[in-house]
Amino acid sequence: MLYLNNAATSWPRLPSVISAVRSSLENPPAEAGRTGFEDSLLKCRKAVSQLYNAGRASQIILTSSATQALNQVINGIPYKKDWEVISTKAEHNSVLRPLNHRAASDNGHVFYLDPDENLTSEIARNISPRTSLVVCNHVSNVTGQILPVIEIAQLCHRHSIPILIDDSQGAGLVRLDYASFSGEVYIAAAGHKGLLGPPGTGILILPESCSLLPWLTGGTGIHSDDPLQPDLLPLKFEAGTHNTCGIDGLHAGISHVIENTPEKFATVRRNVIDYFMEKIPDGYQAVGVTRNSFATGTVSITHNRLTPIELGLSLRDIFSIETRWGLHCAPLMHRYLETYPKGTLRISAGNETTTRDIEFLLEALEEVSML
Amino acid sequence: MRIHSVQKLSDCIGSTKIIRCHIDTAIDEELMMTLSANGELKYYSHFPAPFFKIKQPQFLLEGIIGSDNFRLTYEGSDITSLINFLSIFFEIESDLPS
Repeated sequence: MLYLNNAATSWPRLPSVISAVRSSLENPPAEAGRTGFEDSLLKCRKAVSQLYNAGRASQIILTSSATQALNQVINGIPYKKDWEVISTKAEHNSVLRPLNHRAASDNGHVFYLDPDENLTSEIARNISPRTSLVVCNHVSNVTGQILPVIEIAQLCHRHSIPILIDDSQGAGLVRLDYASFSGEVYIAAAGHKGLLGPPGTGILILPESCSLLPWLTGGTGIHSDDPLQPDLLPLKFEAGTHNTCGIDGLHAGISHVIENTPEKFATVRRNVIDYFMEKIPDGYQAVGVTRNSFATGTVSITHNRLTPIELGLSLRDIFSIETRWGLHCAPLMHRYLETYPKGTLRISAGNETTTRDIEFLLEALEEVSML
Repeated sequence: MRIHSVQKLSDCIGSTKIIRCHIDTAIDEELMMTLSANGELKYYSHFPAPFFKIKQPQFLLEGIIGSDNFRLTYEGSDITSLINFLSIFFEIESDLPS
């Protein structure tokens, strides 16, 4: 099988990740606060901190997914009266749905702006005294477009507004230097994509000065007589038993990224997608391509006649090529790109994808277009 | 021959209606020819997996020789004609999507 769905989940798994998960399950439990062992999660927190240059390990929250990390911020921020949030049409449902639920239950308002070259100035234009949060994708999961989150974070800092960056697609590929940020900056990311960890893992990086309230409360294994969630990082935001085997796997994945560097993996992915773009067969069009689209190895295409699902199923059934069709959980982005409701066929390379793989894909796309 | 399970294939919002029917036998060329009665058959035997498609007025049937399933793409909400067609060749043991 040729797997080109790495924007969803990285595959194949690294042997070191498999080994770490296996070892975690085979050894006696070492759950923080619940056994006599030391915090086995500390090494993973330190690896995240190293990758993002993010300071103290206690500011690294380990979650079950990017969705949980994003929900924690969206539902934990103290909102102003008649609040407003500014976000973009490039967001995944893991941002859109929590924001929309929050707005519906709390009489708030969310502005979703076009992710075009005017994004930063449009955010500036929409900021008001009621703006409580800005939420912005770092890299689109549909097109691979990189959004100017550094510039937007600076703008937020000038206005003393917290910003939440969804780095699910960029993590492990397009470096964010957390120490270079000022202000209240939160970064959420999935563990099973560019960080190469297992599914069921995610991270949330907190600022040193943090106004966030815990969204999920429960057992922590410490301060058991406290009727409320202990005000102690990181456990303030980590109620419940950790996915320790997943986190050990995530640590192995992030260690591999640190050792090889995100830049190396981004170059591999960019090169194969550049090669694809040079030779894209007649009848196919790449969608939403911008100057910096291919750093994560993701490109979305459409065909003049065949729908994305027809393309994807034919590639899978006939050629054993795994891609992803449809809306990619990003309905506003597809409306923005004018590819709604059928969506696109997304091709997303991995760190091991070769030009030979892309040649096979190109041949398959040629054949499928004759159907 | 039996259809023992039917899987709905999603394009996120259901704008394209596609189901995959799993049958109790591997499709061979004889079955392909039988299914193509009154339809327009195209057979791509040179593909890595020998692929065929049969166009009928109400739907499109696509499959791989040697595989134990085929896909049906249909339009509209009424699948009566689909059920009628399948009933000619198969005993249907699974609910079809409404």
